[in-house]
Amino acid sequence: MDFVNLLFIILTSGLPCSLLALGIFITYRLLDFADLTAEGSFLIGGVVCITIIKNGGNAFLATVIAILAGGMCGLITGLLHTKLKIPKLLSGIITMTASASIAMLIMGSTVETMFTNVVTLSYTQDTIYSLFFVGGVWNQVIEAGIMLVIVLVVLFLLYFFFGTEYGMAIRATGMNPQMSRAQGINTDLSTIFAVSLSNALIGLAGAMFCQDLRSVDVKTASGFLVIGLASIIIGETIFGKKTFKNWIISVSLGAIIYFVIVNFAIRVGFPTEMKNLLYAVLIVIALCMPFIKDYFKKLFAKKKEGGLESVNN
Amino acid sequence: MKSKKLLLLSAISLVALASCGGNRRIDMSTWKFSPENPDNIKVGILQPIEHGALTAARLGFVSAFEASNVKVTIDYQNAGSSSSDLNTLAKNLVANNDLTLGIGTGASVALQSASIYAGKTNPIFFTAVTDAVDAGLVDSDAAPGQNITGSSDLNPVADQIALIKRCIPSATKIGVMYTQSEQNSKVQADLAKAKAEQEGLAVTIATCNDASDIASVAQQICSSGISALFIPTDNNLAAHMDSVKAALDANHVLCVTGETSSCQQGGHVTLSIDYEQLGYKAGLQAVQVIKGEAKPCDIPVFKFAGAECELQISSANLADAGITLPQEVVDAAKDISK
Repeated sequence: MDFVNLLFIILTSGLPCSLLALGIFITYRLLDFADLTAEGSFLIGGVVCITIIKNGGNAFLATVIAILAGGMCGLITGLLHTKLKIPKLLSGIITMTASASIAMLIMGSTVETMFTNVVTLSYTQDTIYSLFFVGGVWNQVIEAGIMLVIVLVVLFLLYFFFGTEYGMAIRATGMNPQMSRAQGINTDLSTIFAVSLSNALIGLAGAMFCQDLRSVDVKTASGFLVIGLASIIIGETIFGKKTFKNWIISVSLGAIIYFVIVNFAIRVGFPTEMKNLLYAVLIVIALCMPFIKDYFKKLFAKKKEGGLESVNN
Repeated sequence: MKSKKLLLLSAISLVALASCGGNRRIDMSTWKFSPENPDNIKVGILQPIEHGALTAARLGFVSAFEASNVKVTIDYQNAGSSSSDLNTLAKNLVANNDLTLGIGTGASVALQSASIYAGKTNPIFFTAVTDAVDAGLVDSDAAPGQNITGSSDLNPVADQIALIKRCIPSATKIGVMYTQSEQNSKVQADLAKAKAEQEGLAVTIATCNDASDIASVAQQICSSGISALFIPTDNNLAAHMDSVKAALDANHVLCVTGETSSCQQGGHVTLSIDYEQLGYKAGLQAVQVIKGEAKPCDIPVFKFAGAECELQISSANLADAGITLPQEVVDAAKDISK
């Protein structure tokens, strides 16, 4: 029973971060655009979604608007970079900084706590998960199921989209902008589109996470950029990136693995103040995996050679 | 394009399905506290961040079990201000414990969410939550109505206003200042206004929008002939009390604040809540539930009355503003000057 509980805890914490990782993956890996907008669009997605539900809106509508709001953040970053020629890193930082103020504006009147102002949902207000609840322990199955469906739909759409001509053009823009322009691709447009798409996904991730937590404050998003990047790297290292399909599935599974590690740390009773160190060490290990693999390969190869030599002698 | 149409269609059908969402309430009439092992209750505690007041509340909560001779095993988790960890920890605590305590609004809502999503009905307690009704945790403070109750750190506004009369018996006109966007501050300001008018005091209310206009708003209200200014718990003002202090000093206005830190930063007098006592009260509620004396849905949310609070003054700030308090107030108060 405990294992089943743990499984659902990992799935419900990890699946929203799968979307986050996929969003960051589009800019960071496909477009070669270190996009710091992520924490901004995650926050905006969550704030928009929770505020709409709090004021009596439908959870589905709220989630769709959160996706658009996230995309809007990306659009601004894209425009800043391509039209105003602001460096990639800086345009992301600008949008991220501004989004904290925008979030405060959207939240409007809030419940004040000791450190920050938070918007919370009442237990009678429905999120996209609780709309389908039947009661009892089935709730967590339904919650995880809904998250899984959303992630699978997103994976399918991404796979489909990046196989189309325009999707290919975006990938080409990331690989070699000069050559893409020579081929007649409007790289400005494809950059703006890809950054918007990425942040729309992150906005959805924010909406899903905040509906799981049923509250949001201006500091909610801090730390999620690292979780997303770590998920990408962990996923790539463990599950590989041989084909595009393999790659996006790896990235989304990376987030699940990240939360396996987090939950392991919690169950083992790892002290809170040491938790971040543990995550850092594990990410370093994941990053070093290719070297470790190579090292062992060489080691085994040498042993074999040594064996042959001894036979020869 | 076909797949997009399909997606739209499925989204529409999902919305149609969603409209059949039912009532989320737990049926409390048949509710019973059922721990795994009645001789050793597993208690999960979620604290969002390392902070003096919150830690005091936690220690108070735990000490209530010792005082009542209830054997418990404490599972304490600290989220270290990460909301991702807060969420995951809340889920783990709810899954593994017979009852849980959330310290602060964020942690309490996280525990309630985790419990709703896991379909659990184990009791949840909260402490250091200012307004549990506004946060959506309970139906009302008198009758929480669900598997959750606790203690609130709302400061005794009426007693704070009475304190003004005690410090300046000749006062006829007072001011109240808060930040417009902070809902709880507005609630307290309204309470303060009602109480002050009952005491025969004329009230001027001033609101500021953010950090930038605090100084000008404070100067305006302090120079309007008021003898005292009440500032409720307000995050924006608490962070910028030095701007208010300048206006207070220039106009020799007494400042009563809603909590200790703003009093220390620039205010003069306050009735302060003891967070250890606050946690202890939540612990006593938990003991009541464990012993089967009451259900959480029927235990009212605890709030401090003025008499149970500590009277605090900042003599340094008082000297800066050139105000002398009556000797009986000074004798009864604790000096919290920096």
